[in-house]
Amino acid sequence: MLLFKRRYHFAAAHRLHSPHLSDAENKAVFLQCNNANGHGHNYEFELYLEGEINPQTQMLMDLVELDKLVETHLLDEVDHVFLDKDTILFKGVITTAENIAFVFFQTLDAVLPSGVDLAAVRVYESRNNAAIYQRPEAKLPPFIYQS
Amino acid sequence: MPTSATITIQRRADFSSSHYFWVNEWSYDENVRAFGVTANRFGHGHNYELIVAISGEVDVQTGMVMNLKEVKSLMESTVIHPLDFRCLNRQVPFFQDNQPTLEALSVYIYRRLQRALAEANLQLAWIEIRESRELAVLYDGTPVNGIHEAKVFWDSIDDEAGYAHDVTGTSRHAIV
Repeated sequence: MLLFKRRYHFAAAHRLHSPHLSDAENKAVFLQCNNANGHGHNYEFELYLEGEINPQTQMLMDLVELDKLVETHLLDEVDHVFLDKDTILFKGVITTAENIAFVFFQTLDAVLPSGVDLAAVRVYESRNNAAIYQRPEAKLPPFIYQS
Repeated sequence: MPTSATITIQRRADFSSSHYFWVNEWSYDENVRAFGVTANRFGHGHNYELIVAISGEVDVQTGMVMNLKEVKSLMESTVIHPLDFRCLNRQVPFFQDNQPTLEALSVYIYRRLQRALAEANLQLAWIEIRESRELAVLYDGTPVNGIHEAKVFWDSIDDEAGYAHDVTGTSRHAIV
Protein backbone atom coordinates (compact mmCIF):
# COMPACT_ATOMS: atom_id res chain seq x y z
CA MET A 1 0.00 0.00 0.00
CA LEU A 2 1.16 3.51 -0.77
CA LEU A 3 -0.11 6.47 1.21
CA PHE A 4 0.49 10.09 0.32
CA LYS A 5 0.68 12.45 3.30
CA ARG A 6 0.36 16.23 3.30
CA ARG A 7 0.36 18.58 6.29
CA TYR A 8 -1.41 21.96 6.65
CA HIS A 9 -1.89 24.43 9.47
CA PHE A 10 -4.30 27.16 10.49
CA ALA A 11 -4.98 29.35 13.49
CA ALA A 12 -8.48 29.62 14.92
CA ALA A 13 -10.52 30.32 18.02
CA HIS A 14 -13.18 27.99 19.35
CA ARG A 15 -15.28 27.18 22.36
CA LEU A 16 -16.50 23.80 23.55
CA HIS A 17 -20.13 24.13 24.49
CA SER A 18 -22.87 21.53 24.04
CA PRO A 19 -26.47 22.59 23.44
CA HIS A 20 -27.48 19.27 25.04
CA LEU A 21 -26.03 20.30 28.41
CA SER A 22 -26.84 23.03 30.92
CA ASP A 23 -24.38 25.86 31.52
CA ALA A 24 -23.22 24.23 34.74
CA GLU A 25 -22.81 20.85 33.03
CA ASN A 26 -20.87 22.45 30.18
CA LYS A 27 -18.52 24.05 32.67
CA ALA A 28 -18.04 20.74 34.47
CA VAL A 29 -17.34 18.74 31.31
CA PHE A 30 -15.31 21.18 29.22
CA LEU A 31 -13.65 23.19 32.02
CA GLN A 32 -11.54 26.06 30.67
CA CYS A 33 -12.47 25.10 27.08
CA ASN A 34 -16.00 26.30 27.88
CA ASN A 35 -14.91 29.93 28.47
CA ALA A 36 -17.64 31.99 26.80
CA ASN A 37 -15.17 34.22 24.97
CA GLY A 38 -13.36 31.32 23.39
CA HIS A 39 -9.68 30.49 23.15
CA GLY A 40 -7.37 29.64 20.28
CA HIS A 41 -5.03 27.04 18.85
CA ASN A 42 -2.44 26.66 16.16
CA TYR A 43 -4.08 23.69 14.54
CA GLU A 44 -2.24 21.33 12.23
CA PHE A 45 -3.80 18.61 10.14
CA GLU A 46 -2.56 15.79 7.96
CA LEU A 47 -4.27 14.25 4.97
CA TYR A 48 -3.52 10.68 3.97
CA LEU A 49 -4.40 9.92 0.35
CA GLU A 50 -4.46 6.67 -1.58
CA GLY A 51 -5.34 5.77 -5.15
CA GLU A 52 -3.96 5.21 -8.62
CA ILE A 53 -0.59 6.66 -9.60
CA ASN A 54 -0.83 8.62 -12.85
CA PRO A 55 1.53 6.75 -15.23
CA GLN A 56 2.68 9.94 -16.97
CA THR A 57 3.32 12.22 -14.00
CA GLN A 58 3.91 9.31 -11.61
CA MET A 59 2.02 11.27 -8.99
CA LEU A 60 -0.99 10.25 -6.97
CA MET A 61 -2.30 13.77 -7.30
CA ASP A 62 -0.98 17.15 -8.41
CA LEU A 63 0.07 18.91 -5.21
CA VAL A 64 -0.93 22.33 -6.53
CA GLU A 65 -4.40 21.04 -7.25
CA LEU A 66 -4.63 19.42 -3.80
CA ASP A 67 -3.46 22.60 -2.09
CA LYS A 68 -6.04 24.62 -4.00
CA LEU A 69 -8.86 22.29 -2.96
CA VAL A 70 -7.76 22.36 0.67
CA GLU A 71 -7.44 26.12 0.60
CA THR A 72 -10.85 26.70 -0.97
CA HIS A 73 -12.86 24.17 0.99
CA LEU A 74 -11.05 24.10 4.33
CA LEU A 75 -8.42 26.75 5.00
CA ASP A 76 -10.43 29.71 3.70
CA GLU A 77 -13.23 28.58 5.99
CA VAL A 78 -11.25 27.98 9.17
CA ASP A 79 -8.07 30.07 9.15
CA HIS A 80 -8.23 33.05 11.52
CA VAL A 81 -11.89 32.62 12.38
CA PHE A 82 -13.96 31.62 15.39
CA LEU A 83 -14.86 28.06 14.40
CA ASP A 84 -18.19 27.97 16.23
CA LYS A 85 -19.44 31.25 14.78
CA ASP A 86 -17.69 32.19 11.54
CA THR A 87 -18.02 29.14 9.33
CA ILE A 88 -20.88 27.00 8.09
CA LEU A 89 -18.67 23.91 8.48
CA PHE A 90 -19.37 23.55 12.19
CA LYS A 91 -22.97 24.68 12.36
CA GLY A 92 -24.54 22.52 15.08
CA VAL A 93 -21.25 20.69 15.66
CA ILE A 94 -19.17 20.93 18.84
CA THR A 95 -15.68 21.89 17.73
CA THR A 96 -13.71 19.10 19.41
CA ALA A 97 -10.71 17.73 17.53
CA GLU A 98 -12.77 14.57 16.96
CA ASN A 99 -15.50 16.48 15.14
CA ILE A 100 -13.08 18.68 13.21
CA ALA A 101 -11.35 15.56 11.85
CA PHE A 102 -14.70 14.09 10.82
CA VAL A 103 -15.98 17.29 9.20
CA PHE A 104 -12.69 17.87 7.35
CA PHE A 105 -12.80 14.30 6.05
CA GLN A 106 -16.37 14.58 4.77
CA THR A 107 -15.79 18.01 3.24
CA LEU A 108 -12.64 17.09 1.36
CA ASP A 109 -13.77 13.60 0.41
CA ALA A 110 -16.68 15.16 -1.48
CA VAL A 111 -14.45 17.30 -3.70
CA LEU A 112 -11.38 15.15 -4.40
CA PRO A 113 -11.06 14.04 -8.03
CA SER A 114 -12.03 10.48 -8.94
CA GLY A 115 -9.19 7.99 -8.52
CA VAL A 116 -7.95 9.72 -5.37
CA ASP A 117 -9.35 8.57 -2.03
CA LEU A 118 -8.96 10.15 1.33
CA ALA A 119 -7.76 7.39 3.66
CA ALA A 120 -7.56 9.40 6.88
CA VAL A 121 -7.43 12.87 8.38
CA ARG A 122 -5.55 13.68 11.56
CA VAL A 123 -6.14 17.01 13.32
CA TYR A 124 -3.64 18.25 15.91
CA GLU A 125 -5.09 20.71 18.38
CA SER A 126 -1.75 21.04 20.14
CA ARG A 127 1.49 19.15 20.43
CA ASN A 128 -0.19 16.98 23.03
CA ASN A 129 -3.42 15.86 21.45
CA ALA A 130 -4.93 14.96 18.13
CA ALA A 131 -7.86 13.09 16.59
CA ILE A 132 -7.91 10.79 13.59
CA TYR A 133 -10.84 9.86 11.41
CA GLN A 134 -10.21 7.17 8.82
CA ARG A 135 -12.36 5.74 6.09
CA PRO A 136 -14.09 2.85 7.87
CA GLU A 137 -13.16 0.27 5.24
CA ALA A 138 -9.56 1.46 4.92
CA LYS A 139 -7.10 -1.11 6.25
CA LEU A 140 -4.27 1.21 7.11
CA PRO A 141 -0.87 0.08 8.31
CA PRO A 142 -0.09 1.27 11.85
CA PHE A 143 2.91 3.26 10.67
CA ILE A 144 0.65 5.98 9.29
CA TYR A 145 0.23 7.12 12.85
CA GLN A 146 3.87 7.90 13.39
CA SER A 147 4.21 11.64 13.28
CA MET B 1 -23.40 15.83 12.13
CA PRO B 2 -20.97 13.12 13.24
CA THR B 3 -23.26 11.08 15.40
CA SER B 4 -21.74 7.62 15.29
CA ALA B 5 -18.31 8.12 13.77
CA THR B 6 -15.46 6.06 15.17
CA ILE B 7 -12.55 8.36 15.86
CA THR B 8 -9.09 7.73 17.24
CA ILE B 9 -7.82 10.36 19.65
CA GLN B 10 -4.21 10.59 20.66
CA ARG B 11 -2.54 12.22 23.62
CA ARG B 12 1.12 12.78 24.37
CA ALA B 13 2.91 12.66 27.72
CA ASP B 14 6.51 12.77 28.91
CA PHE B 15 8.33 10.71 31.48
CA SER B 16 11.97 10.51 32.50
CA SER B 17 13.54 7.26 33.60
CA SER B 18 16.91 5.62 33.85
CA HIS B 19 17.87 2.14 32.73
CA TYR B 20 20.78 -0.09 31.75
CA PHE B 21 21.17 -3.39 29.95
CA TRP B 22 22.59 -6.38 31.72
CA VAL B 23 22.07 -10.13 31.34
CA ASN B 24 22.75 -11.80 34.69
CA GLU B 25 23.90 -15.06 33.11
CA TRP B 26 26.64 -13.29 31.17
CA SER B 27 30.06 -12.19 32.36
CA TYR B 28 31.02 -8.54 32.65
CA ASP B 29 32.93 -8.75 29.36
CA GLU B 30 30.06 -10.40 27.55
CA ASN B 31 27.63 -7.73 28.75
CA VAL B 32 29.93 -4.91 27.75
CA ARG B 33 30.54 -6.51 24.37
CA ALA B 34 26.78 -6.80 23.75
CA PHE B 35 25.53 -3.54 25.26
CA GLY B 36 28.52 -1.21 25.24
CA VAL B 37 28.09 1.94 27.34
CA THR B 38 24.48 1.00 28.10
CA ALA B 39 25.76 -1.87 30.30
CA ASN B 40 26.96 0.62 32.93
CA ARG B 41 24.92 -0.50 35.94
CA PHE B 42 24.71 2.95 37.43
CA GLY B 43 22.30 3.47 34.57
CA HIS B 44 21.68 6.31 32.18
CA GLY B 45 18.52 8.27 31.45
CA HIS B 46 16.10 9.32 28.76
CA ASN B 47 13.29 11.80 28.38
CA TYR B 48 10.72 9.41 27.00
CA GLU B 49 7.70 10.55 25.04
CA LEU B 50 4.54 8.47 25.10
CA ILE B 51 1.69 8.80 22.62
CA VAL B 52 -1.50 6.93 23.39
CA ALA B 53 -4.26 6.41 20.80
CA ILE B 54 -7.78 5.53 21.91
CA SER B 55 -10.61 4.55 19.57
CA GLY B 56 -14.31 4.93 20.17
CA GLU B 57 -17.57 6.44 19.11
CA VAL B 58 -18.00 10.17 19.46
CA ASP B 59 -20.43 11.01 22.26
CA VAL B 60 -23.22 13.08 20.70
CA GLN B 61 -23.64 15.25 23.78
CA THR B 62 -20.00 16.20 24.21
CA GLY B 63 -18.50 15.62 20.76
CA MET B 64 -15.73 13.62 22.42
CA VAL B 65 -14.47 10.05 22.39
CA MET B 66 -13.12 10.52 25.91
CA ASN B 67 -12.64 13.67 27.93
CA LEU B 68 -8.98 14.68 27.55
CA LYS B 69 -8.84 15.52 31.24
CA GLU B 70 -9.68 11.88 31.99
CA VAL B 71 -7.23 10.58 29.38
CA LYS B 72 -4.52 12.65 31.03
CA SER B 73 -5.25 11.47 34.57
CA LEU B 74 -5.61 7.85 33.45
CA MET B 75 -2.22 7.97 31.70
CA GLU B 76 -0.73 9.68 34.73
CA SER B 77 -1.95 7.15 37.29
CA THR B 78 -1.58 4.00 35.16
CA VAL B 79 1.81 4.41 33.51
CA ILE B 80 3.50 7.77 34.12
CA HIS B 81 3.53 7.57 37.91
CA PRO B 82 5.10 4.07 38.07
CA LEU B 83 7.86 5.04 35.60
CA ASP B 84 8.61 8.75 35.93
CA PHE B 85 11.85 9.58 37.77
CA ARG B 86 12.60 5.95 38.50
CA CYS B 87 15.23 3.46 37.55
CA LEU B 88 13.37 0.91 35.45
CA ASN B 89 15.73 -1.97 36.28
CA ARG B 90 15.66 -1.46 40.03
CA GLN B 91 12.25 -0.03 40.76
CA VAL B 92 9.76 -1.55 38.32
CA PRO B 93 9.16 -5.26 39.07
CA PHE B 94 8.26 -6.00 35.42
CA PHE B 95 11.91 -5.38 34.54
CA GLN B 96 13.12 -8.04 36.94
CA ASP B 97 11.97 -10.44 34.18
CA ASN B 98 12.61 -8.26 31.13
CA GLN B 99 15.30 -5.98 29.76
CA PRO B 100 14.17 -2.33 29.89
CA THR B 101 14.08 -2.02 26.11
CA LEU B 102 11.48 0.03 24.26
CA GLU B 103 10.02 -3.27 23.11
CA ALA B 104 9.41 -4.55 26.64
CA LEU B 105 8.39 -1.11 27.89
CA SER B 106 5.75 -0.88 25.17
CA VAL B 107 4.19 -4.18 26.28
CA TYR B 108 4.17 -3.01 29.91
CA ILE B 109 2.55 0.33 29.06
CA TYR B 110 0.08 -1.10 26.56
CA ARG B 111 -1.25 -3.81 28.88
CA ARG B 112 -1.73 -1.44 31.81
CA LEU B 113 -3.54 1.16 29.70
CA GLN B 114 -5.58 -1.52 27.93
CA ARG B 115 -6.99 -2.81 31.21
CA ALA B 116 -7.77 0.66 32.56
CA LEU B 117 -9.52 1.69 29.33
CA ALA B 118 -11.51 -1.54 29.05
CA GLU B 119 -13.12 -0.64 32.37
CA ALA B 120 -14.35 2.56 30.65
CA ASN B 121 -15.51 0.58 27.57
CA LEU B 122 -12.83 2.16 25.40
CA GLN B 123 -10.36 0.54 23.07
CA LEU B 124 -6.64 1.22 23.12
CA ALA B 125 -5.69 1.45 19.43
CA TRP B 126 -1.92 1.75 19.62
CA ILE B 127 0.88 3.44 21.49
CA GLU B 128 4.15 5.00 20.43
CA ILE B 129 7.11 5.39 22.77
CA ARG B 130 10.03 7.55 21.76
CA GLU B 131 13.29 7.12 23.62
CA SER B 132 15.06 9.83 21.65
CA ARG B 133 14.57 11.70 18.40
CA GLU B 134 16.07 8.78 16.54
CA LEU B 135 14.37 5.83 18.21
CA ALA B 136 10.76 4.82 18.78
CA VAL B 137 8.49 1.79 18.98
CA LEU B 138 4.88 1.53 17.83
CA TYR B 139 2.78 -1.20 19.38
CA ASP B 140 -0.82 -2.34 18.81
CA GLY B 141 -1.12 -4.96 21.53
CA THR B 142 -0.60 -8.14 19.50
CA PRO B 143 1.27 -10.76 21.54
CA VAL B 144 5.06 -10.46 21.44
CA ASN B 145 7.19 -13.57 21.91
CA GLY B 146 9.88 -13.38 24.55
CA ILE B 147 8.37 -10.66 26.73
CA HIS B 148 7.37 -11.94 30.17
CA GLU B 149 4.08 -10.35 31.17
CA ALA B 150 3.65 -11.91 34.63
CA LYS B 151 4.57 -8.74 36.54
CA VAL B 152 2.84 -6.15 34.34
CA PHE B 153 0.44 -5.19 37.13
CA TRP B 154 2.84 -5.40 40.05
CA ASP B 155 3.20 -2.10 41.80
CA SER B 156 6.53 -0.37 41.89
CA ILE B 157 8.86 -1.57 44.58
CA ASP B 158 9.87 0.77 47.35
CA ASP B 159 11.86 3.77 46.13
CA GLU B 160 14.56 3.41 48.81
CA ALA B 161 14.90 -0.36 48.46
CA GLY B 162 15.62 0.03 44.79
CA TYR B 163 18.94 1.64 45.49
CA ALA B 164 20.06 -1.03 47.95
CA HIS B 165 21.53 -3.11 45.12
CA ASP B 166 25.29 -3.29 45.18
CA VAL B 167 26.71 -1.75 42.05
CA THR B 168 30.33 -1.72 43.20
CA GLY B 169 32.69 -2.52 40.39
CA THR B 170 30.15 -2.25 37.61
CA SER B 171 31.06 1.14 36.23
CA ARG B 172 33.49 1.50 33.38
CA HIS B 173 34.95 4.32 35.46
CA ALA B 174 36.89 3.98 38.67
CA ILE B 175 34.67 3.44 41.70
CA VAL B 176 35.01 6.14 44.32
